[in-house]
Amino acid sequence: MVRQINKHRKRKKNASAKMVTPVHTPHILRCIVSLLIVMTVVGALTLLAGTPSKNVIERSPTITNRYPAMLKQVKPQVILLGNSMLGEGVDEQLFMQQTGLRTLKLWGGGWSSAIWYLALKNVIIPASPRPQTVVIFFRDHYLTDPTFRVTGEYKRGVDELTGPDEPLLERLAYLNAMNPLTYQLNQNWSLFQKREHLKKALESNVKLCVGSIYGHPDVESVNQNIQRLFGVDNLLAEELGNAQLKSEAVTNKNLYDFQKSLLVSFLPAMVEMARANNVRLVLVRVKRRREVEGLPTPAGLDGYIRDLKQWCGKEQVPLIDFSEDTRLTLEHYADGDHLNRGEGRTLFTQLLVEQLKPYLGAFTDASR
Amino acid sequence: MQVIFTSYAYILFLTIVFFLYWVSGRKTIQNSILLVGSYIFYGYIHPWFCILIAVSTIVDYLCGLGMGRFPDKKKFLLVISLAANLGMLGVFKYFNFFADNFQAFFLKLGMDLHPITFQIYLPVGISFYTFQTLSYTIDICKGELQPRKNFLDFALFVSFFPQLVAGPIERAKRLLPQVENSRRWDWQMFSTAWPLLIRGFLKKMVIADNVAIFVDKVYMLYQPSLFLLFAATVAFAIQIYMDFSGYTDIARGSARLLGFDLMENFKSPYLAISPSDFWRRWHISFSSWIRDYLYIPLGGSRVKGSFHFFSIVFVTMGLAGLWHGAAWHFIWWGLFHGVLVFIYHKLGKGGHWKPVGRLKTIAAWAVMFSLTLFGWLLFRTPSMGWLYRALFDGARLDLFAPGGVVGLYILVMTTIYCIPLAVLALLDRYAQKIPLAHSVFCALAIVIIVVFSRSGGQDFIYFQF
Repeated sequence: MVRQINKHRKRKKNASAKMVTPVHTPHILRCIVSLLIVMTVVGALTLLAGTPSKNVIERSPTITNRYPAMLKQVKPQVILLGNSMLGEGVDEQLFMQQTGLRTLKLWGGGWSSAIWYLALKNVIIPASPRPQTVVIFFRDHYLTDPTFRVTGEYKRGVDELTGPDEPLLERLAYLNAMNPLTYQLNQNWSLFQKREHLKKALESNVKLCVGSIYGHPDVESVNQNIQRLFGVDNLLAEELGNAQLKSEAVTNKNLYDFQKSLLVSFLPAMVEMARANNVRLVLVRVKRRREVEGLPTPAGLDGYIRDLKQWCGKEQVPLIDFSEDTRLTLEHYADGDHLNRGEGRTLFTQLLVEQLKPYLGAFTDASR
Repeated sequence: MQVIFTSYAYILFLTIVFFLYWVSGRKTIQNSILLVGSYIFYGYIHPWFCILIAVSTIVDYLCGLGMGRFPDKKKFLLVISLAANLGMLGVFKYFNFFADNFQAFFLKLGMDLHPITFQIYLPVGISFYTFQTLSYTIDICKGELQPRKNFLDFALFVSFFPQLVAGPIERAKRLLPQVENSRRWDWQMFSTAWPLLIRGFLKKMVIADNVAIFVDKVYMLYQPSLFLLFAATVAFAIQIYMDFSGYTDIARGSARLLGFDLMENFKSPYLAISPSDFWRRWHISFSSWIRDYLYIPLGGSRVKGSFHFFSIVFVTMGLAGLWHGAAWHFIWWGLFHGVLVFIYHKLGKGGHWKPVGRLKTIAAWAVMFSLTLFGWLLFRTPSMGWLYRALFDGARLDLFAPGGVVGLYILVMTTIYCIPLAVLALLDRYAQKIPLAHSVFCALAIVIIVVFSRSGGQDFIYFQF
C-alpha cells in the first residue's frame, strides 16, 4: 500500500515536473531577452541624449526676460505683483491717480510664489531706481506653496524670470516636490532632464506647420491665436471655477500647516531680501468667489491664515486681508475668482488704495 | 490624496504587495495580504470609504449565505441585497441630483421647496463594486452560482484593488474561482503583465493626459466654433478611450503580476459598424452586465412589439447613461445610444449585422463613428444649454483664425500623440508572433512615457463614475 502511494506520488511529481519545465523555460528566456532589449534600446537613446546636465532644472534658452526693460522705462515706485486676480482686479491708472505714485503691475496668468520670488530677486531688487514698495497679491495658502504652477504650461513664466544660478528655486520648487524615483531620474538621466525641451520642440514644430498652412509660418502667430481664443473673457465662469477648484484639490496636501509650509517656502527669503534692500513688502489676501458666495472654506485654511498673520506681525510685514470685506459682492465678479473690469475693478482698486495708504504714505510724501 | 495607478505611490504599493504576496506562498495568506492591501489602497483616498465597501461586502455575503440556507426566501434576500447596494449608490451618487431636480420641478410649479442635500465626496468606484457584488447575489438567486462560505475570499472578490475603482466589473462566476484557487508563480503571466502595464501607462500618461489639455480648454469656452468643437470632440473621443482602456490595461497587468486574469474591457470600439457592435467593443464588462441583468430580464431579447422593445432599450440605455454620472447630459448620452440601437434594429441592422463588401463596411463605419462622436459631444458637454448654444445659437464654422488655427493644431497634436498607439495596433495585427518587435516597442514606449507624460497628470475619468 505504502509502496503504491509512493509510486503514485513519484508519478505525480514527474508529471508536474514535465508539465512545468517546457512551459516555463521559454517564458523565462523571453522575459530575460525582452529585458535585455529594453535596456539596450533605452541605453542607446540615453547615450544619444548625452551626459546628464548639472542643472537640476532645464531652462528654455530662447526666452528672454522682458521685465527689466519695463521697469527701466516706467521707473515704478510701487510694484504690484500677483497673478490674473491682480491683472483683472486692479486698475493701474486709477491706482496711480489716487496714490500719486508711479506704479507697475507685474503679473501673468497662473503666476505663483516661485515666480514672485524670482521677480523680486531678479527684476525688482536689481532695478535702478529700485521700487520702494512691493505689494504681493495672494489667495489661500499659495504664498507658501512653492511647487504650485511651476511645471507644464507655467514653466515658461518661471523660465522667463530665472537667473543663471537658482539653487533655492531648484530646491523648493522642484527637488522637494519630487518623489525619490523622479529625483533620481532627474539627477542622472539625460533623457528625463530633456523632457520639457523635447515637448516644447514637438509643439513648436507643429505650431510652425499649422502656422504655415494659414500663411503665418511662425510659432508666435499660433500662440497669439491660442491666447486670443482662450482669453478669460471667452471662458465659462463656472467651468473655470470648477477647473480651478479641481486643480487645487490635487495640489492641496498638507499645505494648510503654516509652520511646516513656511520652512519649505519662498516667503522667508522674500521677506529677508526685501528687508536687506530697503524695499517695503506688503501682502494682500484677495477675496475669492467662494468667500463671496458664503461657501465653506477648506478645512485647515482658517488656522493657516491665523498663523500667517501672526508670523507677519512678528516679522513686521503688513498683511491686508480682503477675504471678509463685505463691500465686494458677487456682482463685482466676472468669472471664477476674477473681478469684472467695470465696477469690480474700480471698487477693488479704491479699497486697495484705502488699505495701503498707511504703508505708502511716507513714500508718497517723499515722492512729492 | 489617492493611490492612482500612475502615481509613484502606486508603484511602491504594488511592489510591496507583489513581494509580500509571492513570498508568503500559501493561498490564505496571499488572499489576506491582498485584502489588507485593497483596503489600504481604497482607504488611502478616504478612510470612511472602507466602511461603505465593508457594509456592501457583509450584506451580500450574508444574503448569499441566506439564499443557500433558505431557498424559499431567495427573492426576499435579493431585494435586501438590491436595496442595500442600490440604496448606498443612490444616496452617495444620485441623492443631490434628484433633490436638485425635484426642487427645480416644484419651483416651476410655483412651490419653493428646500430638500436636504449632502456635502459629501462621491466614493470612487462605488458604481463598479456595487455592480460586481450585485452580480453575486443575482447569480445565486438565479441558481447559477453557489453561495460562498469563506468570508475572506468573498471580501477579496469585492475589493480586489486592481479593478476596485474603475473595473473591469468582473462576474462572481469568473473572479471568485480565481480567488479560491491556489496561485503559483507563472512566468507566462509575468511576461504578459508588464507589456500591459507599459501600454496602460502610455495610453494614460502620454495620450489621454496630454490630449485632455485641449479638450478641457475648448469645453470651457463660452461658445466654441463648430470646427473647434469638432476637433475637441475628436480629441475627447481619443482621451476617454485612452484614459479608460489605459486604466484597464494597468488593472489587468497588475492583476496578472498577482496571478489573476481579468477580462478584456475594450476591443477597438471605434471600429464598430453599428450601435450593437459598439457596445460589444466598448466597456464590455459594463455593457454585458447591463445586457445580462437588466436588458434580458426586462424582456429585451424576446419582445416583439416595437413600442415594448423601444421602451426596454430606452430604459436600459437611459440607466446605463445615468450610471456614468448624476447629470442630465449622461442620461441624454445613454438615451441617444438607446435611440441608435432601436433605429438600427428596426432597419434590420441590429445584433450581429455585417454589411457585405468593403465599401459598405467603410460607409457603415463612417456613419457609426460620426454618431459615436456626437454621443461623446453629449457626454462631455458642460450643460445642454451650452451644447445648444454651440450648435445652433449663432453657431459658426470658423475655419480661419483663431478657431481654425487652434482646431487644426488640436487635431494634429492629437494625431501625433496617437502615433504610438497606431504602431501598437499594427504590431498586434501583423507582428503578434515577433516578441522582438514588441520588446523594442516597450523600450520606446518607456522613453516616450518618460519624455512626454504630462507633469501633474489627471485622475482617471472613470474614477467618478
